[in-house]
Amino acid sequence: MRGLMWLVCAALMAQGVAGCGQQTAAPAIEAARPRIAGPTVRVAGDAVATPLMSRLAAAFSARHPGAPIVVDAPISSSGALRAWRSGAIDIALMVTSGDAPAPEGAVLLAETEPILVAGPGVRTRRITADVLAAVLRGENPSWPDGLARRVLLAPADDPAQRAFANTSPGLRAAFQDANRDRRWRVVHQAAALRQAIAETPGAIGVLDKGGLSLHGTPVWPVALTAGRPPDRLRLWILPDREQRARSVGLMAFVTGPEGRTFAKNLGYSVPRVAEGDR
Amino acid sequence: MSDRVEPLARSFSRRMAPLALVAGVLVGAVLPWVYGRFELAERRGEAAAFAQQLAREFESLARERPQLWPYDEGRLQAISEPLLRDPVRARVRLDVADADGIFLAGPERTDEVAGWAIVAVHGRPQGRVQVRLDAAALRQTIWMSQLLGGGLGLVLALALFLLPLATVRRGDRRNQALWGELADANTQLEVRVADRTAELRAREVELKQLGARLVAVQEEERKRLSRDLHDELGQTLTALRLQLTLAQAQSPAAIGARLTAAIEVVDQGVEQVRSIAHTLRPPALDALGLPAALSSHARRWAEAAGLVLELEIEQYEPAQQAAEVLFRIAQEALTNITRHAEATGARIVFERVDDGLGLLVDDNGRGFKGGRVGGLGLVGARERAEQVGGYLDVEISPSEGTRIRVWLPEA
Repeated sequence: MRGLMWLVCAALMAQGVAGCGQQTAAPAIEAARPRIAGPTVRVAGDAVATPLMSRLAAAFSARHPGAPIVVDAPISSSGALRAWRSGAIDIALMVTSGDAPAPEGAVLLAETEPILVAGPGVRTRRITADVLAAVLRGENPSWPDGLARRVLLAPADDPAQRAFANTSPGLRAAFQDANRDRRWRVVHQAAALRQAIAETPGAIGVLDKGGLSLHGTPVWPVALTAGRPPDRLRLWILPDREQRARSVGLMAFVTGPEGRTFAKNLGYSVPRVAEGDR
Repeated sequence: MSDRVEPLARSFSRRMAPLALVAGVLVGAVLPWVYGRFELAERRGEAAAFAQQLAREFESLARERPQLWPYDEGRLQAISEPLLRDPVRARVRLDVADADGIFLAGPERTDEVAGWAIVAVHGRPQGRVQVRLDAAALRQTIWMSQLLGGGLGLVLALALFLLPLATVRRGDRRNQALWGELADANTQLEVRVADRTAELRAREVELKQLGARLVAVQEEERKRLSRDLHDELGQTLTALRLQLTLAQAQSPAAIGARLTAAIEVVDQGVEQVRSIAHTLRPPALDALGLPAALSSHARRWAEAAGLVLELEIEQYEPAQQAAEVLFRIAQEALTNITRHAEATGARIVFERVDDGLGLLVDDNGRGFKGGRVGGLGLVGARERAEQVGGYLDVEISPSEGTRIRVWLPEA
């Protein structure tokens, strides 16, 4: 009798423990997404690289008419990589910063840098990292002239904001806390963030310099004094794996002298072509 | 614990152990398991509903970007973030898959998929959203509940097992203390009883001594009365008779007749005095001893009662006190035969027997009325015998009569 009772107890305990880790299988999706058909070249990627690529694609199409080249709205670097791997897009645009390695098979398109910008009514043009960190923590609610400060944040994994935050440990912690605690409004899309900063009195936020010059958004740069300069943003391009003629032509244009000159004229940094970039 | 309670306690422990174990397992394992199941089911339900809600939200994005919506992480976050602000939903993880099942979430796949929903545009599946539970938090909740349940179960089991045992032991200790007090009280009582018994025995001895003294005094008084009656009143009556006789001789005939009658009355008085004196204290008892006094008294009694008498008197003279007791008992026995027995004959035996003196008085009558053995006379006779260390037995048979046995110690 005792042995049976011990057995029952052990069985109940085991089932109780096992019950925690059961998996529920989700069914497979029946319909598959239709594959991209035709000669159209689809390009998509990070919001930092998309404006430049749109201009480059337009310039290429103007010079070399042919199959359409569609540059989709931004989707993020990791999303672009997955979309490129799945074949949803032909050419992916990705952005890295700091010591992040180059995506495998990617070609360096251009470089830019993150920049702190302010919206209408903000007269401050210089700010220290400590003051900015205090602003992010909500300790300094007003500008010197009394205008209320409004911080508009990008998502925590935004390359421009992350590169800018890495200028000092205090600033990095302040940005992380601000994103985690949702102390300020978070705008997920770069274009929307630019628009929001431009329209919000007293607003500040981090954008990429290249996109700023491309769009001509009425925002004012605020220089960050003290601390090391922010890491540069590297724009990468993953070429079409099918190597279609139109894609190859586009790649040759954007990575060649003509394209780099075009990018440089738009305010981007274009490093010299070196080993490993192609 | 006492020897009587120890086996009971062990038996009780053996019986309570399974019950305690069952209760402990129920509270410690079963209840947390049931709670865990309910918690898991509730969270799965919430996750499934959340997945459905997210899928509806994502459908607008899917309509806008049918090819790239699963990759537009910015828009996906913008849509889901407000919904994730709910503290309950903050514990979940989201996965979004495209139509080919390729996920955008991180590599971890260890969390449980609690709910999922298809993202469809115009009825065509465009992808899937999955909601995963925060397994770590869930496991922690369940483990905490199991830990708490286990602790409660253990406490309950120990309480069920130990508390009754402790109560039994405490009760036994109290019981033993009470028994100890009872034993002490009993000892004190016995001491008091022994003291009182010794006191009573002393009183009894004293009483017997007083009784013997009373009998002796009574005999002395009788002896004195007998002597006084015989010596003084008898002498006076004798002298009176002499005077009357002389007067009769000298008186005329008429007066002589009266004197003669007076002389007869005097003679009756003298005889009565002699009889009373004899009854009070037979002279033979003091003069001749018990055998002679007993024989004399018995013969006179038999003659007066008209009964046949048989005597077996040993010619042995006991001590004065024993002789007096035996004589009085024989006297009382013969009186009872006259009053109650309706006998025609009687026997008296006196002999030395069993280092003492034995007296037997029996008759051939019908016994005592109603079978009662006693009456004040025999009660007194028994007391007299016991006062000197002897005993008196009475046997009654309606067909054989009454037999009285007396034994007195020699000394």
